[in-house]
This record gives sequence, C-alpha cells and structure tokens, in this order.
Amino acid sequence: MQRGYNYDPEQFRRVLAVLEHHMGLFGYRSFFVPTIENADLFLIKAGDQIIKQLFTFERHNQQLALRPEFTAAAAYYYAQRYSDETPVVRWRFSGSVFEDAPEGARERLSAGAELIGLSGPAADAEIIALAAQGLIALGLFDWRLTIGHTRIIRQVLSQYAFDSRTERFLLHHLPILRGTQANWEFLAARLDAFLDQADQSAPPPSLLPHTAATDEPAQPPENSSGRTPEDVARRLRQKQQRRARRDDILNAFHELERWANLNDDDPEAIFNAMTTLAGSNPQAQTTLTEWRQTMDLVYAYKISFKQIQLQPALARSWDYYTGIVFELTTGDGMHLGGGGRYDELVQLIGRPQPAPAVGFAYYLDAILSRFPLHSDNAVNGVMLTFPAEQALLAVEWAQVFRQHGMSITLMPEITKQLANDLPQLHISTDGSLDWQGRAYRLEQVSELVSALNR
Amino acid sequence: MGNGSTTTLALPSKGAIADPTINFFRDCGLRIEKPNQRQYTGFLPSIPSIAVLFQRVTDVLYKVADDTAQIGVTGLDIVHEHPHPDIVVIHDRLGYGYCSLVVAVPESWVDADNMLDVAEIALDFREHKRRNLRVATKYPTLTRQFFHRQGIHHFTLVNAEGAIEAAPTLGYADIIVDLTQTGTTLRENHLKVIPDGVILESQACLIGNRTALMQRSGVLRDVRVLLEYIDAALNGRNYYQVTANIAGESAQAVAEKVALNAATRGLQGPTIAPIFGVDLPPDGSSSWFTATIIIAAGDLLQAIEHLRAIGGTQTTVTPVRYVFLEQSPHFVKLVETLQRST
Repeated sequence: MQRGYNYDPEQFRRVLAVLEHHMGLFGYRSFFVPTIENADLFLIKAGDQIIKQLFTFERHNQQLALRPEFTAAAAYYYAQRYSDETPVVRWRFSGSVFEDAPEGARERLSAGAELIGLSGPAADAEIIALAAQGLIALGLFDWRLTIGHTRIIRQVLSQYAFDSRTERFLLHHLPILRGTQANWEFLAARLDAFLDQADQSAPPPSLLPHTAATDEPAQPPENSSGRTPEDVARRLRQKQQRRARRDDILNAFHELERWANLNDDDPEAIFNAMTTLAGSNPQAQTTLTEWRQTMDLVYAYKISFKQIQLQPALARSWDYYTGIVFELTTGDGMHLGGGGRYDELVQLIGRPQPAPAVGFAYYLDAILSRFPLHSDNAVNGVMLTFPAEQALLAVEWAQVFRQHGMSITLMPEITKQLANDLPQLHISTDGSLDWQGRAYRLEQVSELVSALNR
Repeated sequence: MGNGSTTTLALPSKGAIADPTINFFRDCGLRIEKPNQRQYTGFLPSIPSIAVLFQRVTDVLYKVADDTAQIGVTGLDIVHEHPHPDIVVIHDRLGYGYCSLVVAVPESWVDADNMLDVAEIALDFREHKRRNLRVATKYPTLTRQFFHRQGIHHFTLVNAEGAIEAAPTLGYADIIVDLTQTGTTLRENHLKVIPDGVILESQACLIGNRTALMQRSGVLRDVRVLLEYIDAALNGRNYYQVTANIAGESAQAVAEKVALNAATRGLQGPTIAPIFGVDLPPDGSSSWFTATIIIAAGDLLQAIEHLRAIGGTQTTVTPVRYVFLEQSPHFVKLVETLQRST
C-alpha cells in the first residue's frame, strides 16, 4: 500500500468540514458505507473498468473487496431498504477508497453525494451545481465543468439498430475520433478484426430457419432459462448480419466523429450544432430539450457559462451512465471530480423496479493538492514550554487556555521539537507567562488570550 | 493422528475418486488396509510409518492444510478452487479421476458456440433483461477468474449444492459451471458444453503440507518412499517387456537385427541370451536366441511386427510393474520447490 500522505491532515479536515457543510445546505445527509464489501457489488456496476483495479481478497470462501467508490454501496443499500417504494433520498459520503494498481495498492480520499429516486433536469442540475459550488466554497475558482450526455450518443446510434456488441465497439473507439485527424486506417483495421471475430462465432445458416418466428405463440423450450426463442433468433440474425453491415458501421463512425468534435466555448452554439446534427431523430431532439432545461437550471445556480463546456461525447463509463455526465478539471487538466446519471444501477443490483439516480464524487487528493502544505505541527493556538518542576502548573495553564477556547500544546523543555509557527510561551520561575513584555498570572488568562488573538 | 514419528496420509472416503485411489495405491504395490469399515483410519503395511485417514475429498485439503494430515490425495479442481499457502502439490498427475470443469449452457441456446457468445449473451441480459446472467456452480473462485479473463464481468454466481445440472431447468440459474467426465449427465439435462469453456482439466493429485515437509525429515522420507513407488509404477504403465525367440548366427547378429527398428531398441538395448534347446548341435552352439526388450506401450504392435519380420517366434508380452529411474523425478522436483520456499 502506498504509504505516507502528501497533504496536511488538518487541511483535509477543514476541506471536508467545508464540503460537508456545503452539502448539508442542499439537504444531503451523511451516509456511511462499509469499507469492505462483496466484490460482486462493485463488478456489477462497472466490471470492465474496475476489474483490473479492484482490491480483492478472499475470506471464508467469499471474494471481498475494499471499496473503490461509494455509489455501488449506496445503490445496494437503497435497493435493500426500499424494495416496494421509490422515495427520494439525498446522501453524502466521505472517506478512503482503494485501488490495486500495477505499481502497488493505493488509498485515496473521496467525498460526494447521491440523489436517488428523482429524475429530470432539476435533479441533474442540483447535482452538477452541488459539485461545482463545493469548489467555490473551498475558495477554488480555477476549474472547468465539462458536461456530456451518454443518452444522446446512444440515441444517435439507435437509428442504425446495431446489436449491443457493435454499439459497444463503436463507443469504445469514440476517443479516437476526437481531434483534427482521426486515424481511419487504424479504425478500419480494428473494425475488420472485430468482424472477423464475429464471423468465427456465427452459426451456419442452416440453423436460422429453425428459429424463425412462427404464427404460433412461442413457448420457451425446456431449459431455455431466461431466454426465449425470440432472444435466440434475434441474436442469431445479428451475428449473421454483422459482417454485412461493415459500411453501416463506418457510416456510424463518421457520424460519431461529427458529434465528438463539436467544439465551441459557447454552450448555445454547441446546442445549435447538436440540434442540427440530431436532425429528424425525435428521441435525440427530446433529450436535447431536456438538456437545455438542465443547463438553464445550472445557470440559475450562478455557475458561469464561461466555466462550462459542453462535450456530448464525453467519455465516462458507457456501461454505467445513462444520461448526463460531467467532469470538473483544473485549468492545467487535473481532474477534481465527476459524476452523472445512472438510472439502471439500483435495478441491476437486485431491486425489482428501477430507481433513477444521479451523483458525483470529488477526488479529494487532487483538491487537497491545490492547497499549500503546512508543517506537521501546524495547529492554531500556542505552545507552552516548561521545566520539569513546573509540570503541574503547566497543566493548570493548559486547562484554563482550553476553557477559553484556545488550543495549547505542552512541551517539556528537554524535548526536541519540530520547527513550527506557533506562538511560544514559557512558564517563568514565579509561574507567570510572558507575552510581548508583560507577565500574566493564571487568573489573568482571559487577558492573555485576548492579547494572543490580536 | 500424525505424532512425531508417523506421517498421516489423508485419502478420500467417498465420491468418484475414493475406490480408484485405493486401487491406484494397490497397483503401485502399496496396499491400503482398513481394519474397520466403519472407522476412518487405515494403514499401509508396506510403509509402517504412514497412517491413513479417510476424509471427504474437500476435507482432505483442509486436513493437510492444518497439518492434521501431512499428505493427501484429492482432485486438482479442489486444490485450484481453494488455494492455500501451506499446500504444495507433490504429484499433479496420478493418472486417474479425470474430469473437466466446464461451462455448460442450455442446448436451446443455438446461438452460443463459444465464450465470446456467452460474453455477448451476458451483456444482453444486462441491457434487455436488466439483470445479470446467473451462473450456478460449486466452484466460485475458478468460475469468477475464468469469466473475468474471458471479458465477462457482469454475472452473478449462484451457490448450488446438489444437482447443479438441474439449475437451469428449475430456473434459479441460466448456465452452469460443473465437473464432467463424459458429458452424459449434461446432455441428459439438455445442456451443452461450450468448446472453449473448459476451465480446468482435473485428475487426482498428491498434496502435502509445506511446513511439515520442510521441517520434519520423517515426513519427507515417507514422501520419498511413496513417490519412488508411485513414479516407478506410473512409468511402468508405459512399457511392456517383450521376449521373442529368434534364430541367428550369433547373439551379436540377432541383436543387430532386433535393433534395426526404433521400436525394438529397448531402454538401452536388447538382451540376447542363447536358448539351450533339446536338439543342440554336437559342439553345443545354439542357433536360437531369446531377445528380451522393454517396449514403449504405444510401440507394441510395431515391435511385434518387426520381430516377426526378422524371424521372431513365440513372442510373449508382460506388463512392467515398475521402472525405477536414477531418482524419483517428482521427489527431485519437490525438493527444489521446498528449497525455493526458504
């Protein structure tokens, strides 16, 4: 495990206090999740990304994991507690998260919030504003908010009626399409490799007629277990047709390229461009209308449009997010946090009915790195040094200082101490403390505290 | 069991490899006696320092891991499913108890021909049915590792005791991962094996407690004796001893004829001995010789045909009980493994 901290623990506590107070003002209540959970819980959420980084271990025949994030546990708790109803809950969380990287296991700090049970622009805008305004509350102003929408991109692709594997292939290669010149030769080669793989698994055509739809209502055969004949037939047709749709896939890549390269500092210009690209796709147009409503509400939270960039093809997990997604980054590209809508997770985890959900998390290590590092002994208050024979009196002084709300650190004279910037006081032989040329007795502690606070 | 001077060998008391284990040891010349059929103890008359403890096949591993027994016989599937730092596999191929841990899907899934198809179907479940593919198995560790390696991350393991093959029919799982020997039970339950869905090829194996092997010389000594017999007996299965009567001018001439074929060259060469028959010539010389050679089992017919071709007759074939090499190769490997552990 990576050891040592490159941030000030006191600074961390202050940052956390600010963020928790800020989230409390929005009505988010503290939510505690276990540090150790069943590994499957996190794999259900986002297996592809997380599997290589999940810190797992086996105990009592169970595969367990140290939590990599908080969302899956929040969704699980919601699914367990609210199986019949869908109340709106606002939960905030903070603490350590863990990842198992090739260079060694890492512990990082995270804080964030989940809004479960509420869909629509108001909920999305609230979470985005909560995240962005938290940075403002911390005194951080040099950041950019990038907002995308996974549903728009999926709706663009839906007109092609690709199977899910082809759609995943397209989305996986979306980042390659960004930039001045997409590498089409590389994409074509990857596509051919993908289609060759599909060819190997395609069944002989002779199987297809047996699975064609008939006039009789289909009865699931014995041992179909969760798949109907229609499921099987649909997939067989997809496998057969995949190779035949090479040109369609390339056309879809070209269309996605246009969406991926929408670039304008003016969100309104981006919306206009997206409306044009969406053309006569009614679902995409509806989503764009909703997105505009969300942005109007985000602006109402006084988040400047100059700090916002719209990027419809923002690549956060395509498996997991179902609507709006966003990232907070500094001017020099450091990621401070991110989140989005994930309407399917609660049902995937086991609740019979779906529950809409949206949330975000801060990368606190990154946020803390934006604050100056204080020394190890940086505390507010004073330090009182004393000879051994004055130890009892030193304790009496410390008690009265603390009763007056001032932090005081006791340090015997013989102790070697780290350099610090605390005001230093020393007990004189008569038991008084000197400060700026004046001696104070124990009964004058309130005057001394006032003098120190000036 | 297992006092300072006794090595305890745990053997499976029931299940598919129980009787074959007893037979295996018998065939190695290590008969196992069980004085009381109702008790779980026995002994090896040929190695008095080894006591036998009969346990369920999974419990063999646990008993060896906690040093109740110092060595044991179980299945490789058990060892891989329950990895333990104190377990060392001493011999991974005892040559019986063959089975495969496989992925099996309903035969009605005609669109599922390989694991790539299973991966897509898993995604289908997630996207269209809003639930994970359910996999019934008694091997969650191996199943999970295999599925993740295949790029299948969205699935739910259903712990199932008893007849796993019935899980899809009963509806509490969609597919299964289970052991199979011939595939008959799977077919009878309308399941088919995915060809590239073989997770593990298993057979009986000999395991040991690492610490006991490293720290107790008596245990290591007993294991060496066992391995000498086991390795020699397993080697012996690969050979036959063939004798044939062949006429020739001299032993040298007969040897040269015999050695013309690679199949009849033996381990180092044929042994040729004169036959002293009832019709010896007056000078006592013999024109008939017996050639004795050790033949690889796979070469038997080729050897017979060659011997016939060079005039061999009355050819007899006997199985070889043991072939002892300079050292038991598995003991040499065990010592190297233990040395690497220090």
